[in-house]
Amino acid sequence: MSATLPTDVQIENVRLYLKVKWAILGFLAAVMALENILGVSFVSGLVNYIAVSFLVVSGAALEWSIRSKRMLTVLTALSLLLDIAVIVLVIYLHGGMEDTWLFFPVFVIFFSSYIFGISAGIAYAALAYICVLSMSLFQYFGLIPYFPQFDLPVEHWRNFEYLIDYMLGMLLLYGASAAAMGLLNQLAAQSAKKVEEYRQKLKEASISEADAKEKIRQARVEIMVKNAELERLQGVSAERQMTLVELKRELEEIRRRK
Amino acid sequence: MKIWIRIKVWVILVMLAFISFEILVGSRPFVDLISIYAVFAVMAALTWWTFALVKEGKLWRWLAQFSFFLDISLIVAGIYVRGGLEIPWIFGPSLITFMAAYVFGVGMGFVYAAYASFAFLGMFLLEYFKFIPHFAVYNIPGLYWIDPGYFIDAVIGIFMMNFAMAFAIGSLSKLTDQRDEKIEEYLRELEQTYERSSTLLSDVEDVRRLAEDKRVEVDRNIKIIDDRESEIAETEKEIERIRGEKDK
Repeated sequence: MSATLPTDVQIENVRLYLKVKWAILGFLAAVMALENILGVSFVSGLVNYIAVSFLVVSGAALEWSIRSKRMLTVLTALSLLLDIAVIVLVIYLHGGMEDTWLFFPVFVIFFSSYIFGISAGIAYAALAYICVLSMSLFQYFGLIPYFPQFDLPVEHWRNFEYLIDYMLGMLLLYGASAAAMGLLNQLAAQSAKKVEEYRQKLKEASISEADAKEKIRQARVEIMVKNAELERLQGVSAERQMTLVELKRELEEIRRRK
Repeated sequence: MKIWIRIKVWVILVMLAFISFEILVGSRPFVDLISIYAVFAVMAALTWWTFALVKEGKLWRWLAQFSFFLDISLIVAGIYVRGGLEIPWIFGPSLITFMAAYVFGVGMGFVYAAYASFAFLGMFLLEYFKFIPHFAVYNIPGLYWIDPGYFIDAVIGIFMMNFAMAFAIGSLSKLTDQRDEKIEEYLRELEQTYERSSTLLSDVEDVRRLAEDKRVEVDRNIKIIDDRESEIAETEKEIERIRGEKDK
């Protein structure tokens, strides 16, 4: 996969993913800084700092990959996987089912679908959903420890209807995101293909234009050469004409004398 | 717009299937059917109407923009009736922001994101300060969602999701627009190049014809010189012959 150089379209798509990733990380960093200043904790904690650091490193690796045009596909795929893993882990450590941020993997699904197409998008959506569902079920059945984030009077996520509602909602969100982005990816791919097609046509047209110009130049050179030759021949012709006239006069003279 | 309508129809159908499933397994009471299906019926009717307008090529921009605002309002109202912050489907309006940003660009995307986020915040605050009643859906004892930490966490999440969605999809839409502009630019350049090429091709023909004429003229001159050379040779021979006879 890394042997072939990435196309401009792939680079543009990954750049967009990174742009959004930096924006989201910037927002999270700002929220975390605000929490530190205010001395409160809404979403933050040491776990968040570590998670954001991981995501920054994976983003930086992708930036390097874009600049060096090396291993872009592999690093993008890995970065998206790491994003899902880190997000699910952070959600789990922040209360799991109790947290309202289970929507967060949707951004990773968006870009997996946009960069790699609808099939990959659905695969990433399925993976994210399996992770979230497993975490929720394990937490619900007490198979993994629960880390409460807020001092809530009741563990509302233990309500079965709530669990089903949440999981169906996430299934819809992840699935719809993968499908919608896959559709947009197809449109974008068509645009990119058209751009490439017209670029090629323009190149061919420019080549034939240059070819025509070269032909005109050659023909003009030929005309110039022929003009010079014609001038020389006309000179020779006039000189031979004069010689002929003189010889004919001489012949007349000789005949008369005879 | 057509893509949006297609996606919307699919999302409505899938949501109806999900909710019907929930009612079947008993996770939602049957009475919910009426309120949820009423919201979806209004949305479906609006979608049908906008679809007919798009098909006739009569969709006005303001109507399309209004339909997105209406969708967000309906979803927020639907979420309020279904329990407000108690239910985990608070991502609903983000799907509208998603498509609005794609159809109208990042600027309008932010407008929709702001509308969706503040509509949510307004609804939660009104519920929080008991200006409007709260409808409990899960029979969970205690209003856990009034915890400030939980509340602020959810609101930050909603704002982030809406704005990040508008930014991501708006940027993507901008990228697609840039590609479309590039296609237009290439097409224009291509047309100009073809025009220039056709002029050049006729120039090539003219110059070639001229070169051919010159070639013919050169050949004619060469022939004239050859004729004169042979005439000169004959005349010289004749002079030689007469001089020879005279000498004898």
